Amino acid sequence: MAKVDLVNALPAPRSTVLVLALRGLVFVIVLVLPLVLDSYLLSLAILILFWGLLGQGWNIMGGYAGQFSFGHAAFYGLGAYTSTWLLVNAGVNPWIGMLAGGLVAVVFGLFTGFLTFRYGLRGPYFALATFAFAEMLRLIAINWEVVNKSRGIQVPLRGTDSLLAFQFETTKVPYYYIILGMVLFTLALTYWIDHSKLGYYFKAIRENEEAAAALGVNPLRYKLLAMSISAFITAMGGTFYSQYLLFIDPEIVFGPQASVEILLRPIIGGAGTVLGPIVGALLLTPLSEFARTLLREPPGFLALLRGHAGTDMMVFGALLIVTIILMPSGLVGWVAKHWNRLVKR
Amino acid sequence: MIVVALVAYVVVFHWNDLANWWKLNNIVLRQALVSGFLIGGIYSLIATGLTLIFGVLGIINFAHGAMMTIGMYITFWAFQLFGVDPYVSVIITVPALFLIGAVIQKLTIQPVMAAPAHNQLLLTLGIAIFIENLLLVLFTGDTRAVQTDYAGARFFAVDTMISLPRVWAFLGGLIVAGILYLILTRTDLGKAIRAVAEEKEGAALMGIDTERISLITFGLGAACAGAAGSLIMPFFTATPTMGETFNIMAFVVVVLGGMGNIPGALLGGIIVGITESLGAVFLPGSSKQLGVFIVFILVLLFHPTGLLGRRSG
Amino acid sequence: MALLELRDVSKNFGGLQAVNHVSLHVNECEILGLIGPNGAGKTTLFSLIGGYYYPNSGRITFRDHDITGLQPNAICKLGLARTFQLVKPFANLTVFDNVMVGAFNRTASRSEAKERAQQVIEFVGLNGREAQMARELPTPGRKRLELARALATQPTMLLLDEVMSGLTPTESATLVALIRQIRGRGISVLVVEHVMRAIMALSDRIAVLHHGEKIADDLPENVTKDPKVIQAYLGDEFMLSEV
Repeated sequence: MAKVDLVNALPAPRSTVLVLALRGLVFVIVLVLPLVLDSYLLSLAILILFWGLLGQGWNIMGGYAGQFSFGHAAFYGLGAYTSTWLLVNAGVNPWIGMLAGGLVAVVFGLFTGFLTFRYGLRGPYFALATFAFAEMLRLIAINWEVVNKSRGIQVPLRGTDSLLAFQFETTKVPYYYIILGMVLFTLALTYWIDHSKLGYYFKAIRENEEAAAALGVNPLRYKLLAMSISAFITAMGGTFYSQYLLFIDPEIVFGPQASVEILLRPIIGGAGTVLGPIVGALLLTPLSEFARTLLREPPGFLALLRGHAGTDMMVFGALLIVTIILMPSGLVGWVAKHWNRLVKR
Repeated sequence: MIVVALVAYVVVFHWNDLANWWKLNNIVLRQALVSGFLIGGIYSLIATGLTLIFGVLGIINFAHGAMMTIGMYITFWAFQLFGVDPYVSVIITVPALFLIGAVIQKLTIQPVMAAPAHNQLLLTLGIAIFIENLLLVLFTGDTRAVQTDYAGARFFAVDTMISLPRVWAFLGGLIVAGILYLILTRTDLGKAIRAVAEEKEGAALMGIDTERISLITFGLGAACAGAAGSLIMPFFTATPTMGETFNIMAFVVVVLGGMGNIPGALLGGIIVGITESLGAVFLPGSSKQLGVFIVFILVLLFHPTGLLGRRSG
Repeated sequence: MALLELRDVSKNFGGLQAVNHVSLHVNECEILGLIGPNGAGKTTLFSLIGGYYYPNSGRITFRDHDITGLQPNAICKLGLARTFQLVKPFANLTVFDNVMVGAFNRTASRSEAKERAQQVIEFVGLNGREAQMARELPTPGRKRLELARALATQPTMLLLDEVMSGLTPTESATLVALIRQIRGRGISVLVVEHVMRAIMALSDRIAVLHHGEKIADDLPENVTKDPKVIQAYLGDEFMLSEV
């Protein structure tokens, strides 16, 4: 697995000031962005952050600890369903629901993780097992009356815009700040993990579990830890989705499509790097959105494509193939590699 | 122990209830067993290609179901335009899919053979997305079916209805898998393929062109999927995304039988087929696959090398 | 006083008796060499001590703790660190980060771990290569890295599994000097080796395994004269005349 440490790849300390200034600038831009964006671009920005968050969740386990999950929809769906069900059936505040959903996802992660790790499932076997767990949850949700079977759950509108209630009917701006907050928090968490004992242990397990154990790393404990952190973040994303789009069903949140979408961005961006998931989301989300609008309602000069559903996803698939072939360690890894070459020259 | 005691209790004290239940359900059950067994043959065939690819290239091919779908569309158009019988069209789909598979391998898989496993997995996923949507663009999302005069042919054995096209599909699946097995065990090419699966570097040292073998293997795997597409066309309708379900079932079959194990794929296919159709009888609503996934996870946990797989350290 | 003690340890795989009632001890500040012809059970014994196999019978104690059947990570925590015969570097981490993983065994503080890692890297002579990816290191460098990682866990005893195989005589001579220095710091060493010259010169005491049994346990000069040992090595690729 070719992972490149972007922090080490950045040039000498004398440019630290520059980097800091750049970070500050990005931060300010991100903060004032909603004030200048129209509503279409704002919802795009929210989507980018949303997928960034889910990607960050996956990245802890799939990228850092190297446990390739192909069933993160399980955590995503558990988060969405727990908070939404609690809200609809018991009037529980979505913020509390979000914590509850996170905990449910963690418990599920610990349970499935314990089973799979205990029996030594690795690589493709582990990936397929996580996939099967997510599919089981989907099938259960489809057939369980308590969660409305395949009809899904509608989040009721309560007629007031309130941060406390996690609901805004008149404006999307607060959603932007909420998801931004979550992303920044997770970014800080990832940065901290990357630079702490935890991150070193995760990476050691990813690279060689046996050697890691010989150096005092308890593989089971740290893999379960990675699973828990990953599950919690992903479940938070589930609650956000439900509160933002006000409707969930088993296919949307537990479906294989969700699992794929979640892991796509961090891998394209650079798995096992702090910025990878965000970079991946920044790249892929607008791409798939523009492809959708452009190719579903093509302008005059592309008229021959009109009426052909699927062109957007076809292009998307092709781009995915090309990206993976050309940038095997993701965009962040690719940039770091070429940056090094430039600096050395 | 508890299970045995429970079964004993039910048998001893509720014999009459059990007998009544059997009277009510035995036809349904027998029907489920037979149709599960027959569809299992198709799962076996698809999984044979998948397991072969995994054994030699070490790649989990997510595009395998999509290749079967291509086979279905070829069969459909051969029938629609030239009146080619679906069974006859196997002789078109097999070489066509072999070629398509080989081209895909050459252009996309070969460049990532050294890349981490998750990249390979994502790549085949990208191929699946591409193929499905290409089919959608070319042929729209309408369901396509061939109207043959034998589509409804059936016979009865002990009150159980057996659909003839499904029997043909099952037998066809066995024949194709059998041919593949013969190729692998009786020809020089097969020996080379097995050598690469066994020990890639060793095979390369012995002068085997592993790149070429990978190419041929991927082609052969795709050809199996294509043949399956032709064989099921008389009783399934084609849509661009229908390969997905088959793909998932094929994964389960492959793990069940042991990754890279062809006889295992045959056995696993039949187990999955039967489990699925029993699930349709016993599990509520649309959760017939739940049983399959439970079996899948149990096998993964307790015998991850598969039912016929070798124990490895 | 014995730091590591094996009492009557046996391990069989199926019908094969890989280790047969072996008792062995390593004293504090001692270098014990473990030799034996191919297939004598050295690596199995090693894996038993390191916690990778569970013995069929017998006990293993380390610093008065019963470590029989403990997980490898727990054994490392107690101060018994090992290297692998086939080195297992964290290929896509830098040399420095490789050693950092070991250094975190005794501390959770990044700065302390960094300090520790830097010391060890200088000690094994890998300085200047800190930023290199482990996969880019040549074989001798990888062997040093393996040693550095184990040392960074701050062990009281090191298990070295054929650290000198694949090295040139000059390279193994520097490694021998390094192992002596390690002992000089109060760390006991159990070294399994095929390169006889090196192990004879290095070890305070030598134990010989043959067909899973311990056939000798004595000072190096006595072991070379032991008729049982000579018998065991006769016909093997490693004649004692090599020594």
